[in-house]
Amino acid sequence: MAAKEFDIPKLPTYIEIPELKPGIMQGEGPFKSIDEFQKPLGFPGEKVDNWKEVAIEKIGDLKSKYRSVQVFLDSCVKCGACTDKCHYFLGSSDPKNMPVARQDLFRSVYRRYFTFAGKHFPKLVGAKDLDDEMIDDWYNYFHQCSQCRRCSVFCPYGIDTAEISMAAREVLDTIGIGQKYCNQILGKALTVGNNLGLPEPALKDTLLDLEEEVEEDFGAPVKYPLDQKGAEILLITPSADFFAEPHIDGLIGYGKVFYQDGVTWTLSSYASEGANFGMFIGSYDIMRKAALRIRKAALDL
Amino acid sequence: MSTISIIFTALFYISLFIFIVGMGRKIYQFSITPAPLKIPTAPTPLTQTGVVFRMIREVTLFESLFRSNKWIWLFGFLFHFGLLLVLIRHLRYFIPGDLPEIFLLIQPFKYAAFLMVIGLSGLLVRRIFVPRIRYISAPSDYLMLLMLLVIGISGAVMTFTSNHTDVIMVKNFASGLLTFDWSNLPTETHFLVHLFLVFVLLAIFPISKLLHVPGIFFSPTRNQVDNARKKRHISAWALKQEKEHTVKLDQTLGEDK
Ligand code: HEM
Ligand code: HEM
Ligand code: SF4
Ligand code: SF4
Repeated sequence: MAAKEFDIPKLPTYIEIPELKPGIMQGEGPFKSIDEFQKPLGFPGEKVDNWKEVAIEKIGDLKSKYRSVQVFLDSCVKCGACTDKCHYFLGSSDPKNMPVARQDLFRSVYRRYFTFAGKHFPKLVGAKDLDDEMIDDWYNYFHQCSQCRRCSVFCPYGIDTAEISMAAREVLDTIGIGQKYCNQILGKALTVGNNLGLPEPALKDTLLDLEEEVEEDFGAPVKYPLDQKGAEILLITPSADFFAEPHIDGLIGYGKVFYQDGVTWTLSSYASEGANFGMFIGSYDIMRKAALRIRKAALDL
Repeated sequence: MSTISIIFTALFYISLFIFIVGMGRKIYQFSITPAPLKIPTAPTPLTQTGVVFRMIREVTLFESLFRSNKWIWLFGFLFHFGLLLVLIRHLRYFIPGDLPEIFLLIQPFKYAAFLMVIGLSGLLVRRIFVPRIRYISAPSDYLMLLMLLVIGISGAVMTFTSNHTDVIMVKNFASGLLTFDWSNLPTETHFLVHLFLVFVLLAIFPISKLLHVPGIFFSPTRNQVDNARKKRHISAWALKQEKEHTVKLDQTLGEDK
């Protein structure tokens, strides 16, 4: 069967750096979280009244807890080496998607409230007030960073925009501006056990179907056990493996390998998620909780 | 001593004081701030020795910068290398008496001033003409380069033109600053400008982007060993939280206090 013809864009040998188009990605950003998803994580349900003070206090707290944040905020020399390294910039041409400009949304606020130069000569050093416009830009542009850390590889001091994005998102959550996708998913992971919110019966059903399918295709009784006490191996995999193509092929493969090896293994319905969204929202505590769930599952089994 | 000498002597101590106290505080702050996450970037060193070599390559060769942008690397390297030679050459003013032999080897490198000035000019031109870099530049970024250029050019004027200054007098003045045996300094304008801007540079060091100098050594993405699976990595505050069970699993839903 002849493959379908696709119009595949040519990949150039050298990346073309686009011309700046300021504001082209300006916008509302992703859907905002609501009370229902914010509260369970311990975040306020909507933008708090004294958000500015809370945010500034949180910035101070974060920079005293994370050396990365403190050192990265102070060290950038604006050399420009990272400006053409972010795929969000290359794809969108919005200068605020250049890693250093993204950090500068945070850095200009840090300078304004925490440094001598920024307090007394804000114009000179590019320090800016934390106002509604700035917070909107934070929400929009810090959610246009996938925290891939590519920029960090190229910065002469290893300044990692992902760390700054994480800090910014935590500040946003703290003042009640959460992102729906992440926070809703975290709620599911922490109550149901996976990001999709697949409860135990659904999971069981999926796995049984899978066993049948694999047996049919390969003629071997490969098992996909769930909650089997005393198994040697607890497999934790991203929940996309339970339903999405081609991820499910990964799960099928794990089962085959275990079958071939003859080891006993199991999935857990209590902790059926390998993807920890706590990192995306920059929250150490929530990241830890999600990880603790896996620990508990392992101990229980 | 002349009034101008007294003013400059005072300025020296004031700026040196700001420099030492400011840098001391910053370095202290950097060193006490914990790094709770293991985040070295690829290619990651697997041993502490590897980290030391990585750091040496970063500081002496600007390895990452070379990977990312050849022009910035070229100009940045010319500037910093020139600056290093210039600074070593300047030691002769501060070391009282005859210089140890080794410094005589450096003395012929007066042309380092050109490396420095060419590098700085290149960086400035890029800052003005490359739209991406112009976009991220604040006035202070231009001023920093201009200031270093003026320092470099005023120095070069003394070294390479007939506007020489009395270097013996400079030596007495500068070494006197360190031995508290104060004396007059030459008063040619370009020398005073040179000196004044050097004091300004010292004073703004701890409050400007010149913090990249201590910063690079504290950067977690560069100074960490990639051994997260061999050795547990946890910061003091996270360990404390853990001991006190501040983050509880059974309270997944609900606020942790
Ligand atoms: C440990 C020593 C140092 C290291 C490893 C270092 C490294 C770097 C690197 C990699 C850059 C970025 C590339 C560039 O734009 O040149 C840079 C920029 C810069 N450095 Fe340094 N540096 C050091 C010491 C100093 C000192 C002592 C000064 C003081 C005059 C200085 C002044 C600057 C300035 C002004 C820039 C910004 C240049 C621009 O505007 O593009 N550096 N440094
Ligand atoms: C208190 C500190 C300083 C004093 C007393 C001083 C004094 C001088 C003098 C007297 C000269 C002329 C040398 C000659 O005629 O042969 C000179 C040259 C020069 N200075 Fe400085 N200077 C100081 C700091 C600096 C700093 C921090 C820099 C760089 C940022 C610098 C950059 C230069 C350059 C590029 C030259 C020309 C090249 C050379 O002679 O090496 N100076 N300086
Ligand atoms: S490469 Fe690093 S130092 Fe240079 S502008 Fe980007 S973040 Fe700043
Ligand atoms: S970490 Fe964020 S800013 Fe840096 S390259 Fe990746 S997406 Fe871009």
